[in-house]
Amino acid sequence: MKRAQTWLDGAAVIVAILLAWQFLSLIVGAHVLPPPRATAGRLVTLVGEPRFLADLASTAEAYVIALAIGMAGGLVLGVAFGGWRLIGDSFEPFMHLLVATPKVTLYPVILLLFGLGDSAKIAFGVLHALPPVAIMTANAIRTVRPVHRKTALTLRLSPTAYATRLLVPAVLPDILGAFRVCFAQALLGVLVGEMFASTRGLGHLLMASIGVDDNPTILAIVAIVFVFAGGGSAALLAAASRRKS
Amino acid sequence: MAASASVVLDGVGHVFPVAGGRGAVRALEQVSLTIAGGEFFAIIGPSGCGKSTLLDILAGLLAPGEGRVTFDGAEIRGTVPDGIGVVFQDDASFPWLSVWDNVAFGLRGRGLDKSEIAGRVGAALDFMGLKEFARHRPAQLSGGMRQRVCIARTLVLRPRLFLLDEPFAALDQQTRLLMGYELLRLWRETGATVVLVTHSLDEAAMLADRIGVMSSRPGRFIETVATEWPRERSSQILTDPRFGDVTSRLWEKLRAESLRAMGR
Repeated sequence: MKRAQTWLDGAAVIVAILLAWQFLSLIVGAHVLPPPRATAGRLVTLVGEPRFLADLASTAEAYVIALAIGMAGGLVLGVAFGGWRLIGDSFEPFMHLLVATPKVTLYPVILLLFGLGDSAKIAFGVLHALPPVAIMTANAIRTVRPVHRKTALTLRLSPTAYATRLLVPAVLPDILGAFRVCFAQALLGVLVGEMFASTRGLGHLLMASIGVDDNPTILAIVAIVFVFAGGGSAALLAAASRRKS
Repeated sequence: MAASASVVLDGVGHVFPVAGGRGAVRALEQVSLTIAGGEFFAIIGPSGCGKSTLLDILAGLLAPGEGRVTFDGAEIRGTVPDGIGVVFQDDASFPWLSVWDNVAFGLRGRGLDKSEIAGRVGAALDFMGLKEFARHRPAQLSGGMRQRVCIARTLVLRPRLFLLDEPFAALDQQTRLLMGYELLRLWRETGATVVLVTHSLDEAAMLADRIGVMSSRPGRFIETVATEWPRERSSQILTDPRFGDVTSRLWEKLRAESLRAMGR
């Protein structure tokens, strides 16, 4: 019953978005904002184009690598920051600095270090994805309830048992929350990287479409990114909620 | 039935450094006490007198700065020895586990077979009246039931010494009374030694064989009051004139210390 209601709510939101989109398209004109139907048509033709599939594959590959490095690297750094105060005090401020800095200003530095190509956009994705995971993981470890730590001692858990049976389950909901942020940030980093200095990928295709006023293609790409990011984020949110309940 | 144990504190003292290196706070001073095996001992004292610090030292969670603590003749020094079970004031149940898994938590990884674990957990759940809630998560239970889960988790380890740090402080008066009776039943049936830290004079007077009254900080025992209740005691104690005598005597000692702790 509850699941059916959730699906109904989700469907209602999608219908509302499509109606608003259609309405806006009528107001500003279909040449400026193609309506949902035209966008869907372009999406179908786009999926059949080898060039688009190559761009999609390029973005997907860079994204998966950036995401994996962001998650794993952020997790390792977060555990170090949260588990060892000296390390946290010394290095965590750099992570906060990275989060606060508009990362696009660092892109020239990334290009200098990695050159034009896939490495630069992966590095840019990692730059977006890793710091939030490190910070959120460190906070999760620091906020494990003292009474649970004391309980672990009174139950005479070994360090390994403490880590696997108490620490990991206790921090998992927060880690999944961090991965949700990482999921979106890695995509943002890779796409922005492709938009500014790449010869392939969805970001590059987006910039090329902007250059020739190909609005249906722009919207089709936005729709793909929107569905992918929204779907992934919702799945991770659902996983985190299941852990908490 | 678990065998009981005796605890000896000899000149125990402890000083906590103040954060930032600005001085130190002496929490305990010259605490000496012997608790006999199978005894129910309650500790009362003004806020901040070091009751919880003393319990942490007894549990082996904190090494005493001065003096010596022994449990069954073996020294306790900053490591929790086998045979000691601790129940804290805060809810220490694990929200990601069911009641059954919470209770079984401490048994796993100890080389016990599944049937042994199932037997002990089933008996503890039965004893604490939680059998029908075995598959529930702690979030689905009341505060009192969650505390019973924590007691059951300690009970399955069959400790010879139960240390309870204000375990019922967050509960309403009726639940506190009922939990007190549960604790008495547990003490009688296991034969374990129980040390209970509490703020409630009535709770201490009703449950304990002896009550240690602590001074304001630095904490030390200024008096030990024996209640002389029979082991098979019940709520009838509350109407016994001696109950009033015990609480009056405790309050007489505690009042001056509480005022001192408040700076008056």
